[in-house]
Amino acid sequence: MLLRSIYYSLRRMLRGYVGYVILILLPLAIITVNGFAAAGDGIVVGDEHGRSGMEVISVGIIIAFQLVGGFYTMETIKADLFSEKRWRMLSLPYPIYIHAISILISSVLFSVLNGSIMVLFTYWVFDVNWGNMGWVILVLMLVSLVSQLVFLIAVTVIKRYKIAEFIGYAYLFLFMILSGYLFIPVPDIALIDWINQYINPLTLGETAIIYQMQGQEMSEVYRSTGMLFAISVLLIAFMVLFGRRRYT
Amino acid sequence: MTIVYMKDIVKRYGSFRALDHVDLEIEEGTILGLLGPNGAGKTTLIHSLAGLIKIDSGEIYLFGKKLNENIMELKRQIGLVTQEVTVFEDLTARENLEFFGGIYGLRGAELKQRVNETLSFVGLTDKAKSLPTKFSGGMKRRLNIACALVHRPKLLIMDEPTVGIDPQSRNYILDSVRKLQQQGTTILYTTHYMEEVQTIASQIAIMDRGHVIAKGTLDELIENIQHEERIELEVVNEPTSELLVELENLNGVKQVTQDSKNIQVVSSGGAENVDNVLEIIKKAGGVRSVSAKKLTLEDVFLTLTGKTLRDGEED
Repeated sequence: MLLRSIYYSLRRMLRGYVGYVILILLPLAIITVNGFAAAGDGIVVGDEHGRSGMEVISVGIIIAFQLVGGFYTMETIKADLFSEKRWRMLSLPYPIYIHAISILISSVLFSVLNGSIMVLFTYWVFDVNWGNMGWVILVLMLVSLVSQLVFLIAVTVIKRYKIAEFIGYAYLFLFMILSGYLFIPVPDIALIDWINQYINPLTLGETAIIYQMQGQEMSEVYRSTGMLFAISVLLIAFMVLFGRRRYT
Repeated sequence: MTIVYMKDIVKRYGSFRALDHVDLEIEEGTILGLLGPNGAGKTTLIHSLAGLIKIDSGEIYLFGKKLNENIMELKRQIGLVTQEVTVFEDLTARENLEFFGGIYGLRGAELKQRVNETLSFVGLTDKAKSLPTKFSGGMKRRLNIACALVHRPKLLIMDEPTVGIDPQSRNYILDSVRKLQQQGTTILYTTHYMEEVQTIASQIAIMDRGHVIAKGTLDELIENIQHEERIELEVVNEPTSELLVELENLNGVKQVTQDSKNIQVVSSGGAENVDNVLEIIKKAGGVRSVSAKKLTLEDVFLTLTGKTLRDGEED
């Protein structure tokens, strides 16, 4: 039943053409414009890894848009379970949490699919060397899972949708700011370093991909990936315990 | 055989009792038309019956089994047609039916056959591959019904299935409901359109303020309010207040209403006031026309609830 539900949820998402614009065309436009602008004479000033501007922008933007993909879970849950449609869904001989899980998994797959298309595009068109593609997709999947879980928890724990939506935006912008992606100066304090090292899915994903791309400090790659996995497990546990409002 | 048995149902929202000790039974193979003004509790009753909300007290049995102890099993035998169109707009008509049929456990050839039959039943075979976004209001309504029918439920609950559609689609839906009844489906049908209930329902229940205040066939309900006599007149001269008071003072008169030169006099049954009323009106200038009105479901509703049904749009 779960697989059937995932199949139809994914099918619905694949028909949402606005989603492609937001999750593929927009980031590709940002990568293209900023990548070329940042590339300059080939090396970005200040990048301690010696990466090209296009590589810096590509990795950052593609991971950041995995975070944006969390809105898919939130919006689909809202459409199916917090609108009039919930009465039909509740009338089915089908535990409603299975539907929520199917939306979560479909959103992760959809988001990773979009991310993968961008990875391949930047690989072929801009010569970004991603290293092990399988590893890149695994990291994108974990970043997306963390993000979808955060949005799912927000929408199922918080009573008012508007507040849940605000928390989604706050999550998105907070971690982007802490990662240094919005050109807002971040104070050099231990707490922020700690958040970026152990909690921020954007920096964890970035670390797991960058070191892997360069084939160095693989322990950092494994640590960051492990942290993303651990955060996912914690969020799932939180979801099971607290995320069950408004279903009846 | 009793398919639905609701006993002493109470459902509260805060201090408001949406269902206040409701009793209701539905016999197998019947169409029960459920009528009620705004806030009467019709939708709450439907949601309770379909296991969508938890009741505060009382008992609901479906097909002889207690609802809250067999909820998933019983949901398989119910189809709910929601008030709003609640299909997936980004799945085709066929995919919608495949999704819902699949949830009810249909697979493979059986699922395909049921989907085809249901599309044909609601007249959407040629639109099977289209998205509902391209459908007219009536077609969306028919797909909405189809999604509740694909698993062939024994009990079909229809919550105002014809709201906002053209007369042609409405007739199509009403014909389909009759066909379903002929095939043995038991149907609970709520609507604001009295003529629909009069046309299709074998039993009628009227709800008001969380109670089922009357239930029976149309003839039985009319018989229950036959204790009233209605005389409608069109008079020559504009009636004066003195004339209206004189009519009100007649023996057995319960209510006199006036709209321009039209007067309606409601008396207790057996008052036989026609002659008396005519005599008074003649003295005041004469009668242009007179009729003793045949009672309708609308009169039953008005008598029992004190409201016209059109006051009660949206429950």
